[in-house]
Amino acid sequence: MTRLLGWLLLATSTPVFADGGTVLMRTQSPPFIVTVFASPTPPRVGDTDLSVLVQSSETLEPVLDADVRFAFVSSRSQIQVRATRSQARNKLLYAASVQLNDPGEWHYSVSIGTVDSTSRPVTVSGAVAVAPARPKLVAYWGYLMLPFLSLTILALHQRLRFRRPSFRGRVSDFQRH
Amino acid sequence: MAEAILTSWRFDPRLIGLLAAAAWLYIRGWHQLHRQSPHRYTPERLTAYLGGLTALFVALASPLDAFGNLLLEAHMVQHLLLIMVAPPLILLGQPILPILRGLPRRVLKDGLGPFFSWQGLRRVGRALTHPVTGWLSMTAAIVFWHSPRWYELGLKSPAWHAVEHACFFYAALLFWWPVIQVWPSHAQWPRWMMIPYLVLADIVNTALSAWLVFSTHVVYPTYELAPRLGGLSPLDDQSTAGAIMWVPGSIAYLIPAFVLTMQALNGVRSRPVAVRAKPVVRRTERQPFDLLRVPVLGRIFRHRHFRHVLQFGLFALAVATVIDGFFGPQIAPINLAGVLPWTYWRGFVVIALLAAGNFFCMACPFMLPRNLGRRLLPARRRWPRLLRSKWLAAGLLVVYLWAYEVFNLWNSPWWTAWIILGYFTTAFVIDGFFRGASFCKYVCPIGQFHFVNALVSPLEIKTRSASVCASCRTHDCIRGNETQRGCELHLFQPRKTSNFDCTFCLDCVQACPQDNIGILAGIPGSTMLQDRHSSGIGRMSKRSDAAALAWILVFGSLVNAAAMVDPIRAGTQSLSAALALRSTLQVTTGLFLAGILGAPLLLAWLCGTVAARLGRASVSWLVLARSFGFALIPLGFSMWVAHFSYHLVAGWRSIIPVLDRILRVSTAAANLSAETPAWLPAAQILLLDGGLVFSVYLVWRTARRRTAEISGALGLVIPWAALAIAIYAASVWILFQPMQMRGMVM
Repeated sequence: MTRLLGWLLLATSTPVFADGGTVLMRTQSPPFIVTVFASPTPPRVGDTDLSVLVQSSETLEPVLDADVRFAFVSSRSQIQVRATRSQARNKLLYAASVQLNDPGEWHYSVSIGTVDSTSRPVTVSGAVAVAPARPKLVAYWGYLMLPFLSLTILALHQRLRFRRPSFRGRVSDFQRH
Repeated sequence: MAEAILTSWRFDPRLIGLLAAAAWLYIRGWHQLHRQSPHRYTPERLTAYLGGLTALFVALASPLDAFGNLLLEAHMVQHLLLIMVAPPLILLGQPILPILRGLPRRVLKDGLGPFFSWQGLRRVGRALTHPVTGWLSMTAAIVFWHSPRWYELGLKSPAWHAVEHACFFYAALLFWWPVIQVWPSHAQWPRWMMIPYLVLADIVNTALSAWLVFSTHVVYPTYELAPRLGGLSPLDDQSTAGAIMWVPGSIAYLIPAFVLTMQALNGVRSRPVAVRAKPVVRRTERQPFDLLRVPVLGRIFRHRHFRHVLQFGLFALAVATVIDGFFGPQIAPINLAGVLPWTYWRGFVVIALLAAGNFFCMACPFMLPRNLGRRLLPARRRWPRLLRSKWLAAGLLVVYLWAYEVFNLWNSPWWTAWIILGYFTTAFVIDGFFRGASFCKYVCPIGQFHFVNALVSPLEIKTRSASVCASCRTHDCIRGNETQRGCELHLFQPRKTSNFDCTFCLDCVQACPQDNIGILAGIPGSTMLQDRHSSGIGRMSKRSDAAALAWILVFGSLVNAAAMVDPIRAGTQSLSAALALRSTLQVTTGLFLAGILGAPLLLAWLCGTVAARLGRASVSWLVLARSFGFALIPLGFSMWVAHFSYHLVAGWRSIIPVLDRILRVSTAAANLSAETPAWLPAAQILLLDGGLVFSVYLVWRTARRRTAEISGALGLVIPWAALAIAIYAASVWILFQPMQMRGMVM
């Protein structure tokens, strides 16, 4: 059962890829309502998952054939990336992963057009404060603790095992040779 | 839109792998138990357990999870699956015994056995499965995680979301445990007490549901901000979620309460009447996995010319590398000699060692010049007695690692080509004049790298049955016969105990008339747990040359990786500038020698001396350093794998610009850059974790071999374990630094 619980703990601890994340911006820009999500919250230096839900402002139905592009600008960098539904887990969203390398304020814009050009392109923009990256020791602390936890269990295992009478007083191989 | 929703699944290989492993273990154990006790381990139990795992998968991988942050009702269904469906179904499968029986016997007996006989763990288990614990855990988890502050935390942070789900699932397992009364645990309360237990839980659930249904404001701000799908207002979404929690949730509590009430009224016994079990059939000892007995693949491996095909393939690649290295452009990222050996070959061979065994030596391209040398030259002399050790190879290994850094071999196709050519020539000359596999056994530094690290590989060439060998009189595996030569490295199969010195050439497999040699699986590194005398090698702890190789490879893994990280490179340049040196050659050489020779010598002396004192051992530090040095191999190997796999994974597309140039086509090579996937650092640390745990365990086992007294063994362990932890810390530090991406268009 311990084994089962261990496995299931691992299984349920699998990071959930929140390609929705939390809402960064929601705005109505006819003919669309655009909602931008970012994960993690707050965005940090490193990989940030961005996703966009494009809805028709008239019917609120999700628009699934849009062409969505992100542009990010900071004082030192500029990034452009295309968001697609195939990169999103929630297939109503358009997602992309961007690497934001500098902490501080980034201005972003999201350009949305439709593939068949039936609607005029829409651009919405905003700003986001990007926090510094977490120190790697903090980011990976769980992995770094793992061997010490394992060694503690191993020590307990050996203590339990060798306190049994059958293991006491065993002549060592070294002594024999 | 419906199609978009239905396709929003997440097929995470980790989740699928873990659930598949849990299912496989259960099925394996259930199959055995069903034959012995078909009335207890029925197909219904199997169905329930697998249904529980399926519910877990649906909760964590289906669109429910993808839409959880847009729709509270989707999130609520997900929680119901984690609380009301998956745990009771899993427990209805009575999973304890099937899973234990599904484990390998050795893991069960040696690994888990001591814990099962520990009274402390039994007490903890009994406390955990007590109805009070179950009820309080479940109630606390549900109330806590539905409070707005913590629920919002779960929505904003994937890590906390996972913790929330884990809390629900495990609390539910504890809650449902006494209701289902998982065998062989004993009921701690009378059966009828489970009726108020369930009803009280339903009251809590009802109160929480009513709060969501009748609330006049949106409880969780995220859903107020979230875009509305299908025109459903946040408040309607919240009411629906509350209704889902209320009605199906109550049904999940009240149906078992009703069943228990009926049983109590009808006087049905809570425990099923014991059914006479069929006599226990002793399990016959399972044969370990044998690669040569795998259908199709085994036949291919056993084919007489299989190895030659592999060798010819690698030989052709080596020739192409040499030609391109000499005559191609001297720009490493677009030259075969800059890419094939340093990005691909190194990565693949260490992964092969980790996952299987020494398959590079099996496919070694230097076999062809060796064989040619034997045909053209006399090949009658015996290798000089003075050189019959690993010292020469160890020295060459140090020279090779030093030259790699000082001459930037990775960045010089010309030097790379010369090295390969030099290797061919040396193999041709040595095996042209000397008998046996003198080149492999005593000279080849690449071979030594594989021999040492293959000690922790899971596959080994060994005999299938000791009794067959006991009756053998011809010993063809080592002597050979008319059609097949025996082992050139003088490893007599019945007395071979590890992969050390084994080139996986399969000569012994071909020669054995009894077909008694296979490529068998074992617990990786288990051969290092004992220090048995091995044919052609002796006892490893008596081999100073082999121990020196181990120490060089462990510290070489650090030095080789450290030389590529920014702080070390900047420090080398600064020091060279401070010393007014024209190049970094002297400083690099000094640091390299200090790292690969000075540090291991100093630390071996220090740890050996301290260990001798703490462990009250009346032997010199050298004896201890020889024994305990081998225990560090897993840690060093894990660093080699972590380092080389970084280059392989980050630069897996490096071949594209080379092919573009050779084939004179233009692809997207101009935009090619090294990409480090997000999972790679975690995987690298996990490798190091495994290496550290295994090394410390080997240190402990080595100490236990040394002395029967626990206090003495602990005294021996402390300095060596501290050294292992220091190497681990240094490895982690190196991996956390920005690493130079060599041989890659940036």
